[in-house]
Amino acid sequence: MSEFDQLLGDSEGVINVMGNYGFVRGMIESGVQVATCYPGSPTAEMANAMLAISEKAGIYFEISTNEKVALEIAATSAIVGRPSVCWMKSVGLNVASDTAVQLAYLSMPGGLVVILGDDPGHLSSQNEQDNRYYARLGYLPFLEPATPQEAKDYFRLAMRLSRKHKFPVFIRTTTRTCHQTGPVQLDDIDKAPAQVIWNNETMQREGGYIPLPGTFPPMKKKALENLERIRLELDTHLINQTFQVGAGKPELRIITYGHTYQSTVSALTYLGISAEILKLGITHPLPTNTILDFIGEGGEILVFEELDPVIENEIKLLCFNKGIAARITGKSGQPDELDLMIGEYDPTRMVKVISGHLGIESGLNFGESSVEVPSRSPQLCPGCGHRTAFFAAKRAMGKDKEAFSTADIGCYSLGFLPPYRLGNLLYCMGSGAPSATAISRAFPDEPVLSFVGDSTFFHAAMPGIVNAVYNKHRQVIMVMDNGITAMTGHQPNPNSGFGSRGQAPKIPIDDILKAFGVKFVERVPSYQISKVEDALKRAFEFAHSPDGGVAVVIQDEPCALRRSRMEKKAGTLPNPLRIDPDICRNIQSCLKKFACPAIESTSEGKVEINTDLCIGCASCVQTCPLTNKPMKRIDDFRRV
Amino acid sequence: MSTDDLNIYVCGVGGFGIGSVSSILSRAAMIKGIDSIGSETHGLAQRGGVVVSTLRLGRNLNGSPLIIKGNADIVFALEPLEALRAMPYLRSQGTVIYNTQRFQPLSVRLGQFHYPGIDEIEKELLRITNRVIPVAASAKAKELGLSESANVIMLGILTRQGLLPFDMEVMREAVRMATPEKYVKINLVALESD
Repeated sequence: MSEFDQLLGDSEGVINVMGNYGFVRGMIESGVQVATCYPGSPTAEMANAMLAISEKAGIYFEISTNEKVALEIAATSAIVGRPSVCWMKSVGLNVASDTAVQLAYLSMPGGLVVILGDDPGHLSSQNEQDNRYYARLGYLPFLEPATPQEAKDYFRLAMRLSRKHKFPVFIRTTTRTCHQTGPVQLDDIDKAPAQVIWNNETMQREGGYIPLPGTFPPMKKKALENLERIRLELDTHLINQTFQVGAGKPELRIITYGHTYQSTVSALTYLGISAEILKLGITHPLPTNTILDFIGEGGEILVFEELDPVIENEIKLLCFNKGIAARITGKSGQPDELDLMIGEYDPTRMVKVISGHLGIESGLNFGESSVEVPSRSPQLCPGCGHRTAFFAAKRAMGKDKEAFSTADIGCYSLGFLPPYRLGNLLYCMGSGAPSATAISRAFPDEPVLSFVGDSTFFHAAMPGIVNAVYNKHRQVIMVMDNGITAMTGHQPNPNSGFGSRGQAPKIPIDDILKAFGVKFVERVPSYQISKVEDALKRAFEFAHSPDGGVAVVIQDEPCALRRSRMEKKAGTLPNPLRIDPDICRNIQSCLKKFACPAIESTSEGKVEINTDLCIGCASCVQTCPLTNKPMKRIDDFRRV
Repeated sequence: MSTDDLNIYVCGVGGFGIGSVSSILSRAAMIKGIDSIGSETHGLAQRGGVVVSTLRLGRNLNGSPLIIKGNADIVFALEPLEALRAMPYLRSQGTVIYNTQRFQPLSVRLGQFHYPGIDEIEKELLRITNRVIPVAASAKAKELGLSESANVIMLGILTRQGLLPFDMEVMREAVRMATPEKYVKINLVALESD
């Protein structure tokens, strides 16, 4: 039984799970038939759960090539009558936005719920964009849960609303809700079969699905009316609730929602301040009657929301329109307004915000180390094939050429860290090759290199590569092929040979590149540093040769973390290496230039291999300039 | 605050069993009828970066699963440097238990930073509390034949010192429920070892 099987339970009971699994349980209880996604933090674990249980739950689940494709499949499934869900990380919505802004105009009888994992505090994204603006852009209702229980309950509500109004409903969540654990009360599973219909008659009855100049105005009118209907329905719903924190007459009145509500309650309890809190469950459209009731005659209302002052400004406008003289205090106009727009609102921060507002002591009492605490950034794993590829790339590019390399999204984004400093410009998925194109045009004689992983290749990188061939650019691309979407926890992609439902066709990147017209395509084993280096050098030569152009080197090595875990389990992982101190001359090339986490410095200033971390790949041997290599495999070793 | 209320700040390096500490403790809480809420780190940070998991146990819990600075009753660190990094969360006269096995961050391996000595770390922590418990947990775990059981050894020590609201019997049951079947036996031995 996998840990996910508890999500399938038919009977009542309480399970203790993280928010992401609360959503998955909500999908099961709501009778979802189709689930699609592209994995991305903080929503990636939903994919892992679905990989394990979707078949048992009778749900069609797929990891699509990108968020746009995923959304189009889920939305169309809803159009033909199947209850559907699609989820993605915050910036995934940028990829899917072309589709997302059309959703409100189309009738979705099956019901469509989209879950967005926003990331205030940019804990695992390239920014902390406030996706609530998309709600306004696309006329989309946004629900915002706080706890794992609410994740499940709000999903059920969202699907019920979506089916009733044939209208898409979004759930915006954040990292702290997705990765929060807590109790979830199981409810009955909806087993009523959905009506799956799609024909000329239903198309017409549902208002049509082609927006033309003549047909668009009524579609938009219907969208706006639907949004208003949902606002009215939720304006009296218990997802917007007033809570009293502390005893006695409330000293503060606060409007907030999501994890910020939880942080606010923690902070008030800590400070011993009583408050009346309106916790919103829907943040677009705002439940205006509920809010006006709460504001009453006026006075001061605090609005706590992470990132931009979105609802604060809408509440101000509401009060202005109604002629209510309330003082709405959030972040706009505050002396620290800009800082308040950055980062998440954790409980410690809320203690400072509330005590600062009241002009009282925060009472915070904590120690800081007087000894400097070295930073610990994430890094490529021991034995990662990307590391050997970076080592070779640095050599092939030559001294001080790092600036001519651009990055993409994946584990290999970490190449910009020392000692490599490779991949120094990054926008988003697929941006590596086009940004390198521009650099190659500006610096035609330089070794211009971009990196892209296998999943990113299929997700968004292909148009940039086609463009480079079509517009005759001269640049080298290194595909970091590890056969899996590693960074988000090893989900399969079109290059994996398996998919959401077991075996799947492996779509060969090499053949695609050749079909694009790339004349130089070479696949090299990453662990053989000289081969990678040699291939890259020839690729640069080709790129600059009269008949040259785009050259691609595919670095080939399965994800070391995944492989070593499997081999450790099977007992086939090679023994680790050690450094023979009699041979080692302490040049430290392996430590400082290669920088595998398994190679450490001792207090005596020497180098040694941490046998707990070393997976025995022996790549480091090639980084030692000595002819007589001091790295020796340990013959007798038992991994525990 | 009831006597069962406990804020536990679990920290370490990605890939070293931080998640299972929380899952064993929340299982134990469930057995005892104590509520638990927690927060985990996932994603890229797990690749050798700093990983923090918080757990709040109690009755009628409300608020965030995150812990306010200076309010962790227990800092449970699977690596000494991470115990030091967690210092701002440690409650005055709280408990800090840490595994003495070091994992050098990149910044230390590249010579940009000095990794403080265990004595330096201990001295810093003693400024906040007298209850500082260093444990050579990784070394012991290897003797037992399962390096992943270092965290369970530390949980056993906390339990026996009466620093958790659970007795050994509850912890044994929680370990049985929260660890993969083939590791249960060895983890139960780890729980009893000192």
